Amino acid sequence: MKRARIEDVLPLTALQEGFLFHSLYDEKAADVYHLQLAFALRGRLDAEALRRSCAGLLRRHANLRGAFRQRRSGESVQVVPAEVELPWREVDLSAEESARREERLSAILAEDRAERFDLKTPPLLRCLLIRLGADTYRFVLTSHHILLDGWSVPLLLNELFTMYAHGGADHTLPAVTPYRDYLAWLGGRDRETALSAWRRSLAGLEEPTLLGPAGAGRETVVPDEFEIELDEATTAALTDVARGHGLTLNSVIQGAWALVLSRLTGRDDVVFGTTVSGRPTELPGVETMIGLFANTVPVRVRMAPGESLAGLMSRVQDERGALGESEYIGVGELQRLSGVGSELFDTLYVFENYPAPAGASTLGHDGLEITGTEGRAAAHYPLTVTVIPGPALRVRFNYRPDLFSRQRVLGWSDRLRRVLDAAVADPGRLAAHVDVLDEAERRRILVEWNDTARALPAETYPELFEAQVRRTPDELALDEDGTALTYAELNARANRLARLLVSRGVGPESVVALALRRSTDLAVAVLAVLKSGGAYLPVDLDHPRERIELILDSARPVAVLTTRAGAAGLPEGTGHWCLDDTGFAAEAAHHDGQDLNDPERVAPLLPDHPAYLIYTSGSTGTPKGLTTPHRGLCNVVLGMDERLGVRQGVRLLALAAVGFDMSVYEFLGPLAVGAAVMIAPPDAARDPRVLAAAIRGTGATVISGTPSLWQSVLGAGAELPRGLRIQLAGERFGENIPRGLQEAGASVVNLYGLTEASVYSTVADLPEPFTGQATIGRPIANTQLYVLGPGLRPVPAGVTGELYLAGVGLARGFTHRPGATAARYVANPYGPPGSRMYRTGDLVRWTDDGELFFVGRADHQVKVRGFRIELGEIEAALSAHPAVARSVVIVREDREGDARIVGYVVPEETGVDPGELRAHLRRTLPDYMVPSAVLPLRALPQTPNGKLDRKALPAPDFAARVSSRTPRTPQEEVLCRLFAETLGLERVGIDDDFFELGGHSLLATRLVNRIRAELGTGSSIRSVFEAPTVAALAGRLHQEDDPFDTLLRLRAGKGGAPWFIVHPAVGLGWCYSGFITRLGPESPVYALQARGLSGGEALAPTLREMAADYIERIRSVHPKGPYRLLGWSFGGLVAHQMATMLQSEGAEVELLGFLDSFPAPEDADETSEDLEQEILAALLIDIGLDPADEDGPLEASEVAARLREEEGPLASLGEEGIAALRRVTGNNLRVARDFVPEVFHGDVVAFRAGRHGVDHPYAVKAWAPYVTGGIQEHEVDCAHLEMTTPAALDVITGVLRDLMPRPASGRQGATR
Amino acid sequence: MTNPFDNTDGTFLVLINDEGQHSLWPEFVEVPAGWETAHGPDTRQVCLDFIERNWTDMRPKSLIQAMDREHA
Repeated sequence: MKRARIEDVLPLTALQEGFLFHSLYDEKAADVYHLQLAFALRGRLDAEALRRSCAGLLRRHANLRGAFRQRRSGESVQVVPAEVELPWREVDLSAEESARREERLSAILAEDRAERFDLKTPPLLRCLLIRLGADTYRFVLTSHHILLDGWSVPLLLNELFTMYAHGGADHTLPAVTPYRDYLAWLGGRDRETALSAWRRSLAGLEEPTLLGPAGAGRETVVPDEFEIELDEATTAALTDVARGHGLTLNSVIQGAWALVLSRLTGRDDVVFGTTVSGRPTELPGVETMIGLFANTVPVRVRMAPGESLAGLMSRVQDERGALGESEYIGVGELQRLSGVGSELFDTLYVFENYPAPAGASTLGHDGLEITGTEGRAAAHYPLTVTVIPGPALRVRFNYRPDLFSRQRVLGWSDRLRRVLDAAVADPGRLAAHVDVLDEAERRRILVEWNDTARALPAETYPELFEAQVRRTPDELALDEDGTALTYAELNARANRLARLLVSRGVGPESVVALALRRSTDLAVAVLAVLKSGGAYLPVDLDHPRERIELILDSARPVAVLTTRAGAAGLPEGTGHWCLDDTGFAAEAAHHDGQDLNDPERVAPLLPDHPAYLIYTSGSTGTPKGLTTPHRGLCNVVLGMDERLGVRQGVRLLALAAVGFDMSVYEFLGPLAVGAAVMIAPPDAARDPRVLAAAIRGTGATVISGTPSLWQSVLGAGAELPRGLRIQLAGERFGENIPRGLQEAGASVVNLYGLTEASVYSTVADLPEPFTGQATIGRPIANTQLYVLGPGLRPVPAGVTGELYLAGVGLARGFTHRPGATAARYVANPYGPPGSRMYRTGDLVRWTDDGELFFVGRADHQVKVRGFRIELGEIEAALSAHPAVARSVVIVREDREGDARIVGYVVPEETGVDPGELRAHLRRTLPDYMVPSAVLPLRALPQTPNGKLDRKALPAPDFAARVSSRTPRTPQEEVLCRLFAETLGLERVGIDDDFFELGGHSLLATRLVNRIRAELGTGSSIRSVFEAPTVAALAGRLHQEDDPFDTLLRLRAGKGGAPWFIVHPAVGLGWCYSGFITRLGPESPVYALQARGLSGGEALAPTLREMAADYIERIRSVHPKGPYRLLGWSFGGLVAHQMATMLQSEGAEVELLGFLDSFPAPEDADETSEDLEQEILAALLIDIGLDPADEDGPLEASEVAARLREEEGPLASLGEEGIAALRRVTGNNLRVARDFVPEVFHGDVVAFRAGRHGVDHPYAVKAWAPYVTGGIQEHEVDCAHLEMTTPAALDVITGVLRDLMPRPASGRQGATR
Repeated sequence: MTNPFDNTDGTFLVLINDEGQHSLWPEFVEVPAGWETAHGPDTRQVCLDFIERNWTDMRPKSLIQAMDREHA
């Protein structure tokens, strides 16, 4: 192999580093950074002149000859050879018939695009000339973006075609300013100043701006694209707006794009990438230089409230201008500096302002013309927006089709167009007021999806109920444990009690507390209070007395209606009336049972008067009351009856605790429409058997309950009658609860509502069979839902925003708390004038057809490693797993500065495997959202009042989860140590999942860096995600290298002198992997393996030729020496031969060592059985087993199976591979017999197996004729076959380390 | 992303409608129809204090008027 003189070694620019990373990240996938330029040519073509011109480009521009390599220190360099040959290929398709020709042409172009450049092998530029006809050609110039930026392309073509016009000579072109001048300029920058400018720019940034899933930007996928065009008038108007405000067109469009991004993400602080030309004006001639100057930098834009569009755009221009001097810093460094994690943005914005392309389309005097040009280049970002200025401005959208649908990206392009239109129409308009929704979309979201107007037949509850009594007086109204009341009976009892209450002063705007258990008495009391005109306040007697006291103090009831037993649970001194007090009961019985009318009440009952007060827990710890008027109550009662199918004849089971507003609907919903309230026994909500019995006993068909209640019913195997209509409310739930209920013959409904807006606001009928995650559906009657962004503008479908509720159901407000009320019940810009909306604090998003998907609580947002995380979203994902009944996710910081997400699950009866759960999460969530640990709990800990007790959730004990299997190979040993160090653990077993032990994306990156440093080869960040255990990763690392490669890199080392160890007669080098942990960490370790182990390679005809072959391989990684050579057995012979040949080539051999190796021919009598046994034994030793432990002769099939089981590097060997080994071994023995060593000049070290027995007793001395220096002999206490066992290697490497010179500490330090 | 109503550093208005209901309102958003500014622009806390002092009867004004008519 001819190697050209190295002319220069140059550093890389930041963007070149980035390209190199992406190329190395996945060496198998298509490299999107190919630049393919195809020219259609017509006329008489001088192919040789074109070829000379292309070669001229390489000759003129040293940087186009560059190759990109990583030094052993990890530093990347571009190596410029003095000359390279131009890759030139010609294809003649002119003889093909036309359809076939087109087909072949596009196939050839596609192949060319797919063929990766090896960045280590220059030049990264190739030419392809395709002849299509007598005088038509397609000329294809393909390069890698790492050499060239977009600006350079027209310059390059200009040079190319100028040279062509002169027969390939460049004398008419100006001299080239060398790229190294630019690199020198770059090296002279004051980086600290630049970094502080960036620090200022990115300060306070909370989170990355991602349109796609996190982590997607690492992948490279060939994108799809489309273009939109602004008409000439709009383009001109936009240019005028820019000019009028002293702005560049680029700033205007950047500002617009920032606004679009802000609306697409629902955030008011966004970042996107942009490409800057990177050509410093102070460098003379820079504008005509060809090379990669461009860089990608982040543009951070905060939406300032009250700022105009023009203000936004000019601020973008100013802020960008302030960074103009600092634009050469790499985006990777800026990401780190921003502190928001490894990914700052996933959209790239490019404003194409390249110099004009060469004017002449006629080349030379032969009349050759360019009839068409097509260029293909891409970026790895999920979305790239390229602005192409012109009389009619175009915007190209390149997007990853695996992440975004074309429809979706088209929608984004529409939004950009709308913002630009708005800027043209009125640049002074507030940015917050610009709508990115189009009219139809806006109408659909605000109006059509909220079109719920329904007339209410009555607006106070007594009217509603009494009308129903008149319609169905004898229908069953209420049943408690078999004691039934008809509508007429219930009404009469309520009327009597109501009159008593009125007589004691109860009326509109007064409150009566009801300290009663779920019972007929409670139902009568509720109706009586409502009829009197007062509002009822349910008090749960099971609550702590202190809490009851707080509520009574706040609500200021006229009195508490209770029983004598109940009164005992009330705070001291509470005024109360006991229903079972004989005097009170007699007084009630004395009253008239007819309906009350307004004149009988203290004051007329109006729809705005409160019907009930419910207290909910407040975030501050004090319960907050909600005052709900009759109109809202009537609305929810009728709206829900309609949606749930509750009507005359239906029986609804009343199950909810009386303090919750769900009980409001359970009592009052059925009674408004002629249905029956079936009162469930006290334990029904706790004991699934009691509940199932109650359902059967009452014949109830409509039941609402929490998902966990239903889960326990299903889990208890309780029989449910078919045809139930079940509502799930109050909690998230997984797939299997609704599905289990559906399988039991029930129809299942999901409900969403808040006490602040009359119990329920939305209903979703779950499809059968239910899969995935439930929506919360659509609004009930007279209810509007708004999903708004930070500027209180509606967000598009699919974008998460905060839910605001409006309509008839809104409560009057928080009881006696005007400030809190005004902060949550706010002016509604989208409803009738003067109306209000309630901001829920719930994050939701619209589905495309107008259902709401619940995302989580706005106040459960947390940030871990810079990522904003909705814990609710993780909970939802956990709950979606069939084995999970309930889940809760929190952020713990048990080790200072190491915040980790931890999930807790209550499993279904079937039990749950936390590893499987995390795998499930990894399938659905971005990796930064996957909890470090998922702990199964029997039940979630609760506070005395039944809420989740977060403080009582146990900390995960990662150390206790470490498994027992210890490393089997030296690689695994290294990996185990690196895993443990990275995770901060004492030790790690080979089966432990990195992520199960608290690993996260940041730590994974750290781990990979360590693996690369210590083991070198093959490990990509992806491999840790895909093979997260030591065992799997070790197998994976082997796979990524060819396990049968002639030169097998066992360890990359850190820049020390490499060791080369030649295989024994069995041609494998894996037996030497024990060296990697025993020779100092600086030195690379390579094993040489015989040809012919895989894929029909020819066997070496002689040992001499074998040695020559191996020398070529070792020179490819270590061209100059000095060399350290070792060989075991047969390998010693080869090492000796290599050493003598290297010396004859003038190279230095620093060390030559033999491991039980003899220059005499191997025993020629060895039978083929013996040979096979020896091979099989060697293989077992390779995977750390002792052949002596095996009974009887070894079988090839058995050994192949053992290898497979061990998942090691030789897992894929198989019986066929063992047969190949036998051929290789036979050949090695043959060439050894014919081998006569030459003389090695220097000392050698020879290790002799002390337990070798009688064979070759003087063998070491046999080397004497072939060595000029001394033979340092060491005996190792082992047999010949045991020379690479750990015990033997400990001795051998101890000697070798002592023989090697200690590295000078100063020099060594400098290479770090 | 903080909700504009929760931004303790923001500038707010106090809006009032025909029912005498009060609403905190971020200054940078257009005042919705049917509402008028009763106070501000001012800090969030001052606006809330204003509301606590002035919105002492949380009944809608039309209800208060209807009840007053009844008593008259």
